[in-house]
Amino acid sequence: MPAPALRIVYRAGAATNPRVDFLASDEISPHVELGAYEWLWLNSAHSYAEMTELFQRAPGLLPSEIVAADAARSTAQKAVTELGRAGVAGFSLRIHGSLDYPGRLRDTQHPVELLYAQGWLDLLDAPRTVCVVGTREITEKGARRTKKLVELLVDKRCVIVSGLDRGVATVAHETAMAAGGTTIAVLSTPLSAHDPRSDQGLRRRLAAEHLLVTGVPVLAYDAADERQRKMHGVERGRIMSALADATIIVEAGAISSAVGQAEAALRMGRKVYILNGCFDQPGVTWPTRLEAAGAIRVRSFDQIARALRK
Amino acid sequence: MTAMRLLRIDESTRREHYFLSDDDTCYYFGEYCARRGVAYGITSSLVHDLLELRDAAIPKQEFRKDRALSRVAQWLGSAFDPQSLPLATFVPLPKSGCGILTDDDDRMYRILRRSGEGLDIRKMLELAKGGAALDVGSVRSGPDVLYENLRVVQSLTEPRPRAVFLVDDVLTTGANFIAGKRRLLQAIPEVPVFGLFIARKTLDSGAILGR
Repeated sequence: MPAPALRIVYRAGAATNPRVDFLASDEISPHVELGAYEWLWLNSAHSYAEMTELFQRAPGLLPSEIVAADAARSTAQKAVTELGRAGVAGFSLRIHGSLDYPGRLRDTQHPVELLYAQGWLDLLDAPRTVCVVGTREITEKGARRTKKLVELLVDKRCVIVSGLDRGVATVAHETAMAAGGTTIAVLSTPLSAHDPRSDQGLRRRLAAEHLLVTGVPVLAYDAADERQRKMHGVERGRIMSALADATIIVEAGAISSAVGQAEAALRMGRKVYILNGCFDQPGVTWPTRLEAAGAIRVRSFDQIARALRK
Repeated sequence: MTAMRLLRIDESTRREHYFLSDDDTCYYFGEYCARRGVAYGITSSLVHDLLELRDAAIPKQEFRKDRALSRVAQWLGSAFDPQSLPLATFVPLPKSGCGILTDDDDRMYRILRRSGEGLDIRKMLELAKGGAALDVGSVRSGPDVLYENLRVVQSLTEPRPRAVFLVDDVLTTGANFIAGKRRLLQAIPEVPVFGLFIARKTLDSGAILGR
């Protein structure tokens, strides 16, 4: 049998870059995937649910394989320009379909196809990760508890996942860093935007020495209305819990995004712990409801220490 | 196992490997982003296992090295199309051309050998000075110095390859690849040359263990 002829194809838009037809599947160009994904957010999907549906109809395909090449390239350029304008010097992507995409993200209801990140990417695969969440309106007691809890977790070599908001999240990140631990912040904004309620100095330190990640697209966020920004916040909570083995609620009022996040964590089969103090608030019913759904009431920190020893 | 998709160096990553130009096609499996001496990521920890200097005091090290070797071999096997795989020629990039301390120059060759039957693997490039490492001052040397130190084994250029994959463990500056590619193109100018790496090192990651 004669050997099949060698085919060298030239990719559209990259005439100088020949791709050899040796590979079992087309290779992944992060730049093009960024553009294609951003394009889909601008044109084809307006929620994580719609995006998930899109990829369910195209199983195994990359964003670039359902978006025209020139549209992907020009959108990528716009996104990169926007990131540059916002002062994001370096960033990395984790793309579903590549080897180093964090598989745990697939446990969420609407897993993101692309994760945008800055910093120490390896932390995504650290063996022990615990998410510490709670209210923005932290009490002095809540801050003390958060600090004590995070110090214990760092001592047990856990990576602390939180959301960079003020309140519990800020105390969690700061304590983890001060105790010599490592921490991941999941944003509800794209890398190019700043939440005015969060600490920019802290954010810069996290990006340089720890890890910042987000599933929020750069270009579509600009046009997002209040409802969509809220949606990004909800997704942020799900990403946090998906990345962590367990989620711990330190302190939260009657209505808190931490509660919805904990429910999502339970659905993903992740452990949820609720500090005892949450149960004592008059008129607050979610702790008992979550406990009934499988969350664990924490009466002493020893309980968490014991659970981590296993 | 489903087909493995390789990543390609593109405009988003090229400036971190500054000797590469957009004429160079380089593939990799994932990023090396270990810090503080620890590796958690799938490709980072594999690179650690593979490159860690041999040390009798580290328990199970040989086992981990061997497991890492097999894993990469398996990835390679699943990343390539079995039909066209025999048409490719794999050339391991010689090490220590830049004074790198290593105890196992042969690992990429061994990985390729494990990747599949009948693979065309040729040690077509070798160090001109018989493998002697250059002085320490040239650790960060560019492609020109490395190029001077490489030579093509003429006897292995026949039969003429149809395409060459220069294979190395970690892509850093790209100098090694550029030097190797330049040397090869001198001997076999009409053959396309590609780069194939286990991981690309991100700019802000720590030093690679064992290198």
